Amino acid sequence: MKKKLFSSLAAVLGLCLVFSVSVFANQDESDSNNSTENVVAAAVPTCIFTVPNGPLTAGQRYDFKVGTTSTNGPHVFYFTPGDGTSRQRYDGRGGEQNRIFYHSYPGYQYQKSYTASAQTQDQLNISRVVSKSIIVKAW
Amino acid sequence: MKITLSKKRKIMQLIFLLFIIFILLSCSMFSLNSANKTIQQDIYDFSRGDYDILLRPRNSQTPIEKKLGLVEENYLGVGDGGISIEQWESVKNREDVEVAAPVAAIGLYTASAINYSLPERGDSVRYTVKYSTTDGVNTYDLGETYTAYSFLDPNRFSDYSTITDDSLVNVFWGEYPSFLFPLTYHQVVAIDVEEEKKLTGEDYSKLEVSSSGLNPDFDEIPILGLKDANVPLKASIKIENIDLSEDDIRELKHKYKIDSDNGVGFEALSYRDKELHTQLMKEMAEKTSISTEIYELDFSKAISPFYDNYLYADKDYHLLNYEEHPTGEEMWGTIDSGSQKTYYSVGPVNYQFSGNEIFVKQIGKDEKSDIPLYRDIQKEINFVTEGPNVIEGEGLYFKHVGYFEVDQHEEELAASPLGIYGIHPTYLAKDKETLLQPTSLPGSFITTPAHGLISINWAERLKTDTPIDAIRVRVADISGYDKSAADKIKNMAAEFESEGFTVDIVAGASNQSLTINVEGIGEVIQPWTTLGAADTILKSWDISKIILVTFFMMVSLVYIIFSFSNLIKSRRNDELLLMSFGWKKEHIKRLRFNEWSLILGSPFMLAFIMMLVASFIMKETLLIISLVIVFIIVCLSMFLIEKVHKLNVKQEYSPARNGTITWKNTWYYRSHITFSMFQTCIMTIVSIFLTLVMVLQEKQTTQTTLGIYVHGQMEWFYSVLLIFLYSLTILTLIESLLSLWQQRSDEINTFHHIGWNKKQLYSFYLKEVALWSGISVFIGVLISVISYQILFGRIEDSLIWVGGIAVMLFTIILLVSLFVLSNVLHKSINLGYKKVR
Repeated sequence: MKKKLFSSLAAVLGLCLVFSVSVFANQDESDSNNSTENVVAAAVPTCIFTVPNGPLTAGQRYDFKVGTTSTNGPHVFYFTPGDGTSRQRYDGRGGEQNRIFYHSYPGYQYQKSYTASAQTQDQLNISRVVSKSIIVKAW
Repeated sequence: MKITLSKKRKIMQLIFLLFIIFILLSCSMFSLNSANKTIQQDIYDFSRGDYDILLRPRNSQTPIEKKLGLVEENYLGVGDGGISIEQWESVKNREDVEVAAPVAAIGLYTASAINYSLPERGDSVRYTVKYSTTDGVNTYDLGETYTAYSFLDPNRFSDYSTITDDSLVNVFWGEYPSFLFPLTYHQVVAIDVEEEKKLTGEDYSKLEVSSSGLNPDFDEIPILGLKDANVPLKASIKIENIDLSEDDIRELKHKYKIDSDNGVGFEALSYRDKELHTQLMKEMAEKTSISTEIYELDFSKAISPFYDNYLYADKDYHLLNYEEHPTGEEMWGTIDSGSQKTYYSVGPVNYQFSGNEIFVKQIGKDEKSDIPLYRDIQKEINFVTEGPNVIEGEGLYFKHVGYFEVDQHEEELAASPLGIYGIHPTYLAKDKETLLQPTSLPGSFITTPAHGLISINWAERLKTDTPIDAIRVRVADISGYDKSAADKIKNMAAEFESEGFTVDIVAGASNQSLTINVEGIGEVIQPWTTLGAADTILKSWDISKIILVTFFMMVSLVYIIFSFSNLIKSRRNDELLLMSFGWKKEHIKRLRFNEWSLILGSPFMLAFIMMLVASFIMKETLLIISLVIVFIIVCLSMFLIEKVHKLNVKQEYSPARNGTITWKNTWYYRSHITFSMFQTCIMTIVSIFLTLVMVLQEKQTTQTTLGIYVHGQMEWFYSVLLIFLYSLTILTLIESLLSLWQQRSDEINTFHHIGWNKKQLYSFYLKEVALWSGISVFIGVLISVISYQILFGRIEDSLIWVGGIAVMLFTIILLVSLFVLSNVLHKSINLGYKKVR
């Protein structure tokens, strides 16, 4: 009789254990899905825009670095100098996280101020525009 | 023993001929009726195009439209507007309107300016680039030549140094030898996505997708480009290897104060010192060329209007677009979002008339390229910029979001053209292979289909408060063009007209080609559209049908009367003989009835069986009904002929007193030839009058594609009926002549025995034929000419044709007569010899 009792108890505990494990597994999957969804919904790339320091010299070539926080490459990088000339764009190769653009600003008899901007685009979203002020010295 | 008074051979001949007549008459009645049905059905199906009514602002009709009732194929691609969005929506919301699709011509725009890249070169190279455009006949240089240099000069930024024209700074790099894509202007039209989809079945939903945009300060306007449209632009690229050593480079750097590693490079010298830059360009131009390569890049094969993705040439200098040919390598490029700050509005072409000819004259030339201008063009401004800043207006740019296509309806009969999708080419009249097109700049006499489509939501912003040029209305609850549908359309048209619109009913419209003399090019064939072709074709068919059916029945009936008359005449003596043997009248009547039952009944039964089978196969009971009607008419005719002959049993003909022997013989034997004369007269009338009527109607109807199609459908029927008609006439002629000359066989023998040769015999008898057939033909010509003159007017232009046809008919009659006479002479003479023996 004891043996029967013990066996019954073991069986019930085993069932409870199995039930608990399955509930835990479902819960875990749901949590990870939620976190994945949250990650996907929030995966708008952030553009990192680096411009040269200080006032720039007209007619001199400078590099402007545009990067992204996104890992959903390949990426497209945009750079708008802000002086009315065309926007430049780079279609990334592979998973490059940044590209360098080159630009020379024209000169005037007076100092000019421009707003250069950059954006990046991955396979899912496009980033917000990031702008930086550029000052070009007079001749 | 069964007695028959008519010869067996004669009976068989009559049975055969009556059988043919029964079939012919029944089939002709059926074919006429079914041909008529076919034509009505074809018009009903084809004449309704994609829409029924065109609404335009008041006084929209151009002078050529008022004069000729024609509009250009893409007539809605140009316009100043005049209908507001509210007006359009009120039309759209009507219950009797199924579709109200607006069109607003926005103007000629260029795409967002991009560059194109050539393959990287590791040597010292001079690039010289020139552009040209073409209208299909003439090629025009587009002004400036662009020069750039690239040579190896490793520095912090790049492996290369570059020297360029001012416009290529920040565009041309050693790694990406790039040049700016010249501006080309294309027709942009605004449509409503939903209504246009109802009309064309195409999905334009991409026009309403908004994105965050690449320029937050500008409005982004989605635009669809026409997939197969042409960008008529070519670039001539000359690439020269130049003699430039490292020492030369060092010397240049020293001379022009270049410090590449610190960013003070050759490429932006013009930004630092313009005079120095000019001097440098002159010095570089003098560098010796070691080798030269010349390439031609044809943009028309690589891209379509408003393409704004990457563009590059492969290692063989074939231009490729990135969408269709993505590379595995990274791409660099430029795009200018300020390209839509200006655009061109164009006026209509001023067509001039001289008699029946249409002219288009040049009104000027483009200053730089000498491209001729055929219409007024006005440069318009959307916004003004100073550097990067918009100082006037609001910035906007076109974002290329995809393509639209136009179905190639090669055999489309009913055009009711949508006004912006016409792709039928304009070509030289003297060479159909030379197709014409607008050049890359505005001012062409050709209005292209819309090369770019945007949403109607932008029309007020880009144009005026009343931006819409036309509304294409499809009437609800009708499925084709018949009388009731036409009445409904007309009533709606009247209502719209009272609201102030210019209204055109396009149902039944059809394409038409127009020959236009264009100054500087020559005669061109251009696609236009007529309105209201369906009614014309219906009327045309009725007249021809009535004439042909009437004459054909007359000819058939005359032949039957002629045959029966001969039958009765040939039996008369034999019946008298039988009466002399003691036969009673009832027996003779019964004999006659039996013979005629055989003669009539046999072909009727055979024809009936044939028609029954045909009716069963074709599922047309009209065939049987036609046959029965024909049979009844024939029986009645026989009955009447018999009665007439009873009353005129003895008929004596007195000879003519005056005239030649030919005339006297003709007069004496007139009873034999009366029927044939009548048939000949009808045949002449049909040949001349009906032909003239058909030619006149054909001119009026086959000028349109629909007309050509419907007229083509009628051709087979005309041919069949005319063949039948001529066959019967010839049959009657042959029968008449046989009867006449067989009766005169003794006379023929007598002439032969007294020494007449064949030539004299032919001459004697054929003169008679010539006389009476000549009179018949002449009477037929007179009736035809007078009738045509009274009913349709001028016939002077066609008198030569009338004469020609008459002579041809006369000749045919003589030839047939000659053939019959030769047989008769041969038999008569041989028989004469037998009798003598």
